Amino acid sequence: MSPIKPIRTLLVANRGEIARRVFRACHSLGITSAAVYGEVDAGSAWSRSADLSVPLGGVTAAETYLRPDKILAAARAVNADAIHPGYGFLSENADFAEACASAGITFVGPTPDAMRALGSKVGARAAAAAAGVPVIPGIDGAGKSPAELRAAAEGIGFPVLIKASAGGGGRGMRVVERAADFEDAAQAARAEAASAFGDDHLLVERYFPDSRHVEVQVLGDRHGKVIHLFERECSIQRRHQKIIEESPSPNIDADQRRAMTEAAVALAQQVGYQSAGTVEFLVDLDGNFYLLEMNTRLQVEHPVTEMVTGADLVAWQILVAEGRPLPVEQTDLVQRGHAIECRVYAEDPAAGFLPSIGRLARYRRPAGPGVRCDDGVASGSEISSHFDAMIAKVITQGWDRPAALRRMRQALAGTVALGLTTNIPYLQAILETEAFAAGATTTRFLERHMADWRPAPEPSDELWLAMAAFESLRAGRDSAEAGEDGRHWEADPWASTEAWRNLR
Amino acid sequence: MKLTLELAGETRELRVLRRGDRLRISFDDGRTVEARLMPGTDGDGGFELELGHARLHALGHGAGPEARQLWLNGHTFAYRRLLRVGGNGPGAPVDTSLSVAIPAVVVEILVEPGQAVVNGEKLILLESMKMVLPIVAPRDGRVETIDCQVGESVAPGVPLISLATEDGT
Repeated sequence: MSPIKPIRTLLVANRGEIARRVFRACHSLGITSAAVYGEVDAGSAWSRSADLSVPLGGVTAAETYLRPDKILAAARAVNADAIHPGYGFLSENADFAEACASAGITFVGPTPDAMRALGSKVGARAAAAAAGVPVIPGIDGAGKSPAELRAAAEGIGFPVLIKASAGGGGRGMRVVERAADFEDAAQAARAEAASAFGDDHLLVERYFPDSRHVEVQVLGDRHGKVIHLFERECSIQRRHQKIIEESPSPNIDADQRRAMTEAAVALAQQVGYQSAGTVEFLVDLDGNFYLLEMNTRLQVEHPVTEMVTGADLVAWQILVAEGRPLPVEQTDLVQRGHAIECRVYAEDPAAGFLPSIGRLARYRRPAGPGVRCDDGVASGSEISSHFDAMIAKVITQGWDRPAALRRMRQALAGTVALGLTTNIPYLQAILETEAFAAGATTTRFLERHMADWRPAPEPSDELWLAMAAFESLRAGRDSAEAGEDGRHWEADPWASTEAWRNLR
Repeated sequence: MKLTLELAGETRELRVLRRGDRLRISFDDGRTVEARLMPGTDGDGGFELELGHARLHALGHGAGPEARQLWLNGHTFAYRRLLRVGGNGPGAPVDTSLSVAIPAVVVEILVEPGQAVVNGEKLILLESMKMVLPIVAPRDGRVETIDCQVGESVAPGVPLISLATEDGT
């Protein structure tokens, strides 16, 4: 049993809201937090919430947050004894985790061996088989000719899904409806996988035209204990990217929950998993579940789990990385009420979800009972084309799903992001559908219920009046000393209304 | 001030008269609404508009001379303030109102609505920091409206007088 190795300074090899989320956990544990930042993130709201910060130099992800050498040099510069990778970037890079260990730095995450065992879909299927976890009927395309693959696909039954073993987030996936189209599709998928991931290894699986995405949060320590923190429903996806998540899932019952959480823990135990991880399942419309993959990192949507269980997943990740036992027993954990998360993106849903790049001139985050907002921005932040367009995650909790939903409507209404175009109106429209209120969430939800959505401002007298009032305010502001970026009424002579005569 | 606003393909002309925190907004169909304009409580540039017993919460952003975004009671709208309607050709209506650059008090109004004025003519005298500042006609024209009163304290940028040029615009 390894001794406890306390962490004094933790460097976060990430940016944006997740970096700030990890800094917060550090502060709650009395750990000094360190940020690294690329040139476009210099002076950013999130990087300024760390105790220490180190410039990485460079602009693109490949020049900054994806550079193990720069990250390790930064860790040495601030004498960090641990690195948290967040999600994305180096978070699932086993070589980086190994390099940290060689440098005497604690990597806050699973062991490199566990990452390698689960990192590819092939490895995950093998581990699942050993742990008795159901997997989607499918075949490994390694070393098979197109004709052999086609014969195997016919054995599975069409439609089938061809995907890159090294892929993720929907990239390198393709659906084939008929046997006749199979060989061409496989060839194209192989070429795409080779260029996108440098690995043309393909998998072929049964394709489910409609299904649900339900995942189980697990957490293991270095003493052989693995617990689960129940499930998250993540079916509302656009091009395989989740945009709304919730916990509990409105679509599984207690028996399914028990079976899925037991399967998730068994899989984690199979590979000796020692950090936070997520076991993703596809649930078909009959309620059967199959392993999709295991993500060996913290997930974007971890807050919904925290809201219903009261856990601090990041703090617990840090504690187990120090070698401490998990602070709770499985039986201590319950799902209290319901939580929903909406991801706010700087993108234009009316223009094909094109990213909206530029200055977030005015930003107001939502607040209130049962409302949490994880963000990395502030008024004036620049949203760059080099990184993800997600600017905030709005999370609400209520004593049941309708209560969480009411709070989410209110929270999104109170989220102001001007200067860019965001998906807030689109999220608001999803929440207003009857299907969402009924919990009828499947992976085809958006194409079924939102395909015809267009932003539809309904001009009302009140809106015209508010527009006119803003123009009047602006006319007063333009020539004021504060100038164009004078953000406050205090800087505006109109603020002092006392001295004015009100003429009736 | 006269405004031409465009929202969701609909264009409207509105006229705003502002005295301190009071707004009188006239629609192009002749309706006039009185409202009270107040800063929001968040100190971030948001404002509130009191309409009788109702209160609207808003926050706006001007991305350029014309492009605007307005968050109003939980929803965000994009609209445009049209500075010139129908291009730059002659006859295009423009914002013809005149204002002062620093806070001042109106001491004398030298013209009346309907009166013809010539380029350079003094229209209104203001006092600020013990100096008298004239509002001067920037071109020949006719006084359309006077939007201030003698003795009134006026803020920078707020329209005090509006001129129509002689060709009818």
